[in-house]
Amino acid sequence: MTTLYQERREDATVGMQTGETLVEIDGLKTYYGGSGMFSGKPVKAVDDVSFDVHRGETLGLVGESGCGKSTLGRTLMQLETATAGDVRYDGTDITTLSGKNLKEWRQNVQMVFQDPDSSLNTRMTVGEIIMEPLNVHGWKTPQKRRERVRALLDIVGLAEEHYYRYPFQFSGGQKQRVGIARALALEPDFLVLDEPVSALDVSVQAKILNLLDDLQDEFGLTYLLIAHDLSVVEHICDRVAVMYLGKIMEIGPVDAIFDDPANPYTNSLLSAIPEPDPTLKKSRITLRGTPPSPRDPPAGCVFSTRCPFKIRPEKYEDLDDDVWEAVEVFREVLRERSDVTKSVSERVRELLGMETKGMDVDEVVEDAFGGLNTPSDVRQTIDEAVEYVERDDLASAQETLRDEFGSVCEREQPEQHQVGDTGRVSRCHRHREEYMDTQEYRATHDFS
Amino acid sequence: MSDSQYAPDSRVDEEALLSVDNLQTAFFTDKETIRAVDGVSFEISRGESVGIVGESGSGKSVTARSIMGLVDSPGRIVGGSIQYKGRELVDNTEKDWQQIRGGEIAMVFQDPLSSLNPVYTVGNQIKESLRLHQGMRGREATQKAIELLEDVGIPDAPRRIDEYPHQFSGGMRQRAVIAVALACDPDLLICDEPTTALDVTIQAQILDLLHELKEEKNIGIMFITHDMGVIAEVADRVNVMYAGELVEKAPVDELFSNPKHPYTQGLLESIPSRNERGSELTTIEGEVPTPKEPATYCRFAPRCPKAFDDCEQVHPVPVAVDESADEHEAACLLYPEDVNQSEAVELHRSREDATEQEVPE
Amino acid sequence: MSVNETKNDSIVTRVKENPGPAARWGAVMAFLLLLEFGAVWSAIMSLPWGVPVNGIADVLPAAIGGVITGIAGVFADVGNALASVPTLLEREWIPNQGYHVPGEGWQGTFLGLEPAYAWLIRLTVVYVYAAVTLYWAWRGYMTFRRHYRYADWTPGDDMVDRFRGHNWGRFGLVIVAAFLVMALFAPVVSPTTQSQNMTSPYAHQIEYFNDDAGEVQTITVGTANVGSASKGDRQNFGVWSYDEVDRFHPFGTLTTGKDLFTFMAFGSRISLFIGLFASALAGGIALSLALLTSYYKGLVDLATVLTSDAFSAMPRLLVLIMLVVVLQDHWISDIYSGAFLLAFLFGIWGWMGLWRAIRGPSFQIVENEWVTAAKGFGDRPWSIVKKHVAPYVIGYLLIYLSMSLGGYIIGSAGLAYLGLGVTAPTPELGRAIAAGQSFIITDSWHISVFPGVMITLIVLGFNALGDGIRDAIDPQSSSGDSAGEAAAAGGGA
Repeated sequence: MTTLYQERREDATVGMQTGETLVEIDGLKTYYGGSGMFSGKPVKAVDDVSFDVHRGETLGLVGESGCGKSTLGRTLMQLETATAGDVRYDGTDITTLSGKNLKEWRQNVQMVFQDPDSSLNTRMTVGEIIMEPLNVHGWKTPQKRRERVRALLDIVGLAEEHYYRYPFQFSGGQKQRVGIARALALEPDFLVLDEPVSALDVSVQAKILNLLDDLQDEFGLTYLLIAHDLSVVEHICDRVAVMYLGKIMEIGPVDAIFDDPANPYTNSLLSAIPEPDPTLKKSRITLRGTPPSPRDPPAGCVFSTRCPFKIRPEKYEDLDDDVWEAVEVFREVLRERSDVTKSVSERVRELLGMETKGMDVDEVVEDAFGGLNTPSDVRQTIDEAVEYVERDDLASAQETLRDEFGSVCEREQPEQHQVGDTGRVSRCHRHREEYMDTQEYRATHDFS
Repeated sequence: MSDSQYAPDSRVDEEALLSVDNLQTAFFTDKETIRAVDGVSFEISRGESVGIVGESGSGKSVTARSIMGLVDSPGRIVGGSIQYKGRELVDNTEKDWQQIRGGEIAMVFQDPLSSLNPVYTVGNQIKESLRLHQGMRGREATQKAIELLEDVGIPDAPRRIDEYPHQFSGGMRQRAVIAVALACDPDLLICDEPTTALDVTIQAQILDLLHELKEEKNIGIMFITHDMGVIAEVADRVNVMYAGELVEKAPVDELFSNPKHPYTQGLLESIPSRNERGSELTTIEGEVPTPKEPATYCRFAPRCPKAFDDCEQVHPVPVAVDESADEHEAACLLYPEDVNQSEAVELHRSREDATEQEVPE
Repeated sequence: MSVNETKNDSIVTRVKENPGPAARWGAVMAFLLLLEFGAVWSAIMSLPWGVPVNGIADVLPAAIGGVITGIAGVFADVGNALASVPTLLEREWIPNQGYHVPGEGWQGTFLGLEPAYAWLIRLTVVYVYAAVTLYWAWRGYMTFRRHYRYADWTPGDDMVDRFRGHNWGRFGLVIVAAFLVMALFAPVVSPTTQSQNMTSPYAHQIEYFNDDAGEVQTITVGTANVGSASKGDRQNFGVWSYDEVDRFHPFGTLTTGKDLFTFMAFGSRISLFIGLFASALAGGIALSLALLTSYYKGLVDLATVLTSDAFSAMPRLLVLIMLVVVLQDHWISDIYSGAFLLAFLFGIWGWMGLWRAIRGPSFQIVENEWVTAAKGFGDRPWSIVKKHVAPYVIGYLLIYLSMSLGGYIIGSAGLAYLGLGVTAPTPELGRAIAAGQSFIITDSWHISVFPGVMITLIVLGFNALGDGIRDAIDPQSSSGDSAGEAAAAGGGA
């Protein structure tokens, strides 16, 4: 390839070994909406994220839908505007770039998209698609551009006659190859891969992953791999960051995280992966409920509404797990009923007094606690809360429950704590000295 | 049960609930004929979960739709038989189908957002099914609907009954779809990639739910997916499909520990978690073909690392992989293992000739 | 295909490699075009070049101005010379002249044919020529596609193929093509000329055989028109008739005695001009706005929505009538006798519906990741939108345009019917309908009916064409193969 890439390759191997930082993200926030006359609360897609990406490594970014990983990727590409914080690429703060500088900088970072059908313009030939970035930047001469496109087609494993074909005539895997070729056209250092293989079949996925690996070795690329398929991440990443509701919950080397996860969310995520080995009967932590809306994240730890490792108040530390679960379910129900993201008609109904929040709450309690041996103090608090609900006073009901069953998880946002000595950080209150650490907790509690 | 024709019979538990025999479904377009399902046979009994695994283009979705009679033109079932509780389904009229769908066989599709009608409340949609098959109305129907939502694990069911699908999250929607499907106590549940569009933690919830329901109600489940991990969790027996044909059938433990067909082996090997971390993944060369001509040869042969000359001449049929394993079959000329190659080829050839099939051009 | 370094040759080198098909096609096409060469040049010469040239010359100092006018004069001479090259389809080749002497038959005719048949032959020649040229142009496209295009398949091919199989669309295309030919060749197809019939009838004279006097006499066209008026049952010159001075009228005459076919042929020019100009204007505005709002969304979209709603809220017909009346004495009303003003107003007031219709699709198209990818390599907004959004939106736009075009034609006819809009003596179909409406139940029914049927056919043709385009563009239409394949894939697994 070009000498430029050769130099970079050497840089990258050196960088890999010395852990040189390519991208520094500091306190990044990307909020949608919230700043306009007609909007409600903003959607906190990325909420105070800080981490580094080292030169030459593959950093995986995992999380479920709505956690903000795609938004983070796009903010790094400056396709979304950051609301606060900064991103330093090789020393320069890119959130302040604009105009010509921004356009020039774009040659350094490119993206590979998830959906091969919508990431390639179906009216353009493959050759035109790959040549487009070169045209936009006026790269050398048209003749040289054509040569480069041909070379790129060869690198990604396509044939030269594909130059004049249209995306429609290709399979999913081949379309992704075209997307990768287009991303490489401007010789970037850093590639953001936004779920590049999730739309592909398993066997095709394997080929594309191998290709990405080879390209990284050959050109000294740095990857940020955004994925929701943890087995893919486990396979090709060096480090992994786990995101939930806009926050990084855990980040560290892939071996450490997959073999011995420290964060409760990472634990739940890993145990939820179905293993292709039927003889493996693992104890799975099944999370209850759904993630809260990013418009209204919980006060305190974002995972507190679903965390199976949640810190309990001292007097309930030995409470039966099922009863505790029922309490949490009940609190979740109340939380949803008081959800701020109501539709206009619901707000109107509320104003007109037509909506009753207290409807059928007895049935809900029965469904949650039926058949359980509930201790009397728990029962008492629940009944108190039910009374409030029947009087349509959800706020007091929630407060009662919070006072009785709440803990530091709901009051304070956890900080990132160093775990072990491999450079891993995890965001959880349990890493504080006064509480039982997650690994210990997992060992002592049965999660089947 | 809605119809006395299907009244429980003491023999039902021994008989297969669903028996598919040599099913063939083809799509006839101007240019060509696509044989999406080309000779597929399997069985499902009560209380068991049968998985169908394959990549895109293997024909697994079309199989499911054929069983439900949902294959629209330009496609139609062109051969074979589908027997449900002893009754033939292939020549059903639309009226016959309306009795069966929902009341006997229910289907859960991949995309919950498009399976539920966005302008009706979820409660309404469940009650519609109840009204059609069991004639329930009013308060009784609402109560049953609330019960169903609780059964599938949706909290705060009384409030949720009156909400619209867009107010549910993805996982909740899929649960609601399952509730609609189970509203009328079907005996067979067909799930077409129900968890592919969901996050992994939600997927875990849905898989747990399906397991519970299977135990509680003793229904048969046909589970279609391309995710081997999910199959390992959910299925009791597995059928592997490739290019419209069944290439391997086995109990789930057996399949994962002892895959016999080269395609299954290749498929399992390319899964990232079965490879060492950081190593290069093993892949299968080439691409899945679209089956257009009748199979007079092995469709996997062009990509098979173990192919030999006869593979281009003889069409393999599912045979037991060796004498002892009668539950494990593979459609490959290498099997049965305990006889030599030419005898095996002969066996396949003779079985193939016995079951000649012609798809009209 | 052999692989070599110089594979992206331009089309010139590709043609050189395989000159056969191109040469054959080119020769025939050149011949066909040569036949009408003079007509093309005279059309070019008829444009008002004088206005800008003289305008510039006046502004600049005398010497340079003189040089410019001198050069312009040379061009004009050359142009005129080229324009005078004889063309195939001049009316003089097959004139429909002659007069009838009782007892002796037709005199002074072309090849001894009755004027009626002469005219018919000329009409046929024109349409045959048009059909052959259009067919040959189509052949050219197919030759290019088969022999000279590198890509062996493009998305456009699918669309063209789908259109070819769409009967209703092809019917629409045929009708639209027929009217375009009629409008384009109006001077040739009509039995009389425009100046003779409509603008200055008293400046022309014709010969005829005066029965009373028993000899050949000349008379001005204007006077003849007085005698050939169709006024209902009293006096009528209907379809396929000769009038008193032996002029042939294929569609009869108007109440003023002028030939209806000529009126309709030139009237269709006006109608099509109004329709096409207004569509281009409205479509251009709608397209630009759609591209703008879909890219920027937010406030820009809100502003455009408010503007479009404000415009739509005005009672369009009344505003049009008011503006036409107010601007009557303005110079803009003189261009094309008010047709230009009308077209302009239709365009300005017509973009709202179009923009609304394509706003949805353009928002959807912008969501595609290829637009994000283009932003990702730093392309400018206008360039992104032009390359990645416009080609898809234009398809939808064409569909809606084909329907609204019919609306514009009907609108202008309606206004002319009310006496506004295009003024006499410029022909406009609506005026003819107005003039003939009291005679519908009489023998002179042709005055209203023929223009009315023509308008209906034009609009029907455009609507059918729009239907055809819609089905051609839509990849999900049932006539395609792709639907079958999608179904075979079983819905996504």
